[in-house]
Amino acid sequence: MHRSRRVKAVDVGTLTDAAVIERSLRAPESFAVIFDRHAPYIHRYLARRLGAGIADDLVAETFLAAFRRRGRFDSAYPDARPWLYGIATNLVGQHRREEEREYRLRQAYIPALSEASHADRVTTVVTAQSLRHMLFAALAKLSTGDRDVLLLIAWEELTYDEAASALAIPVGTVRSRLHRARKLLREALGSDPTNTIEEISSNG
Amino acid sequence: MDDMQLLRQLGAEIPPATPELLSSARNRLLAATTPASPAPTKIRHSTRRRWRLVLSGVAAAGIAAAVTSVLVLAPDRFGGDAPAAKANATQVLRNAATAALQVPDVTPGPDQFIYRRIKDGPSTHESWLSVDGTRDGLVREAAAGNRTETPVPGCRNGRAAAVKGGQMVPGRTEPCTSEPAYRPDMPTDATAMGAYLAEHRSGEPGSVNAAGKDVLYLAESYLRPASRAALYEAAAAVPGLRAVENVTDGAGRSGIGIAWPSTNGGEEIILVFDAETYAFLGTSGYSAVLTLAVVDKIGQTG
Repeated sequence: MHRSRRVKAVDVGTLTDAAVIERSLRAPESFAVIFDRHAPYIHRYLARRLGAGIADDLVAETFLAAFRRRGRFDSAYPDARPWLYGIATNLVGQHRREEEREYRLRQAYIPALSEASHADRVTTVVTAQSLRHMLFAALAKLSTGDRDVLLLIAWEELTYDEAASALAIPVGTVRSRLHRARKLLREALGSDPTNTIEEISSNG
Repeated sequence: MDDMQLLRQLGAEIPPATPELLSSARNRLLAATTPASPAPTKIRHSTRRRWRLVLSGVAAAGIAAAVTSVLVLAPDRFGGDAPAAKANATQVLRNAATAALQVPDVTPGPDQFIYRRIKDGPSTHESWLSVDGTRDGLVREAAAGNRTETPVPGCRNGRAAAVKGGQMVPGRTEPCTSEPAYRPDMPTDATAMGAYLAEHRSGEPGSVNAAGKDVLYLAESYLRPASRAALYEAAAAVPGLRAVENVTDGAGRSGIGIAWPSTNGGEEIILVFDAETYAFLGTSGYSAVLTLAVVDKIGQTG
């Protein structure tokens, strides 16, 4: 009782995620294609929120859950990544203490994972200790729902519509949560964050 | 520089995972995709619970009584004027059940095909699928001016022809599971249909929205009249459904919608029925079942 009727028998590599998932209902092993396409990014998302150690385990949990629920994937969406982010976000929600700990750790240091290619993107602004401290403290204080929206958009570069579909909430809720989260973030950074940043930047 | 840019910089400190980091997760997934995996059992447990939850608002006796009354009596104003004026989800679904029983009962033969023409978002699919799953079928898809045809090899003695590049490869077969396009053993009463849905579908426990998708899947399939009536009766027993007037299906046909709310604030699914005949049309704004028929050979459209 599933939608394998619309299976396309072509080279899996050229199919949309939706088509691969439909195909995987009949040929389960083809679901590995979904893993190969998205796991690096889902892992990074989990590492950003919970640390690399937990991410190794939870990336597997994410894809196992996705595989079990693949019959429920809405094939109206060609791209599976927002759906996978939704599943990963649910798992993050079960690890709130670890998430807070991760942000506390990262207040103090830049992870060793940081590569040379990323070094130029990490300017002195964010390495400035006090600013890191404020940002991560503010993140830890946000409500889970607001933080989910903020980080899916800021870190994972989801559109509002994608974030709405990932979290199964209306797009209006995405907007209001993002607005609230950014307001709190700006308050934490000071009434005029631009000045603060410039000051820290020029001193640091 | 604003708060979002600052945040992005913090995010950029963590690079995407390398294949080495992911290999153990990938192996766990591959192990789960083999048929020996216990995963399907888990799904069945959760779905059964979910359907129990969905149906829990209605006493079992209530369902049985409702079925009897509808199978015996015609609905109040079936086919009458302006039935949508006071549309009520339960009544619409019961009307749909009664209407389903008025469709001629055709029993598909094992050597026949189920022909379906369905609009699915921007694309239109036509399919001829073997009633017993042993004959080679065909799916024809048209989207944005492109037309593709894909064979669906019949499954005979656990083997089906291999397909590569949209063609069956002569002399090469691969293992298969038989996929009959029509199931002769489908339940014919609402209680058994509820149990069938519980047995076979996956989804979050208690999700009315997911239950709506289960019903949609069956509504889009070929069902004999008694089973189709049972499906709509089972749906009518689900609490929390809402009738929505003046909706249109994916082909622009207007009708009465049945909204299956999402428990977590997500998008609801709306099944559309013809306001006069109570035939199932499709889903609001997205899909439309244009033809569903039993035919003798591929290419025949009704």
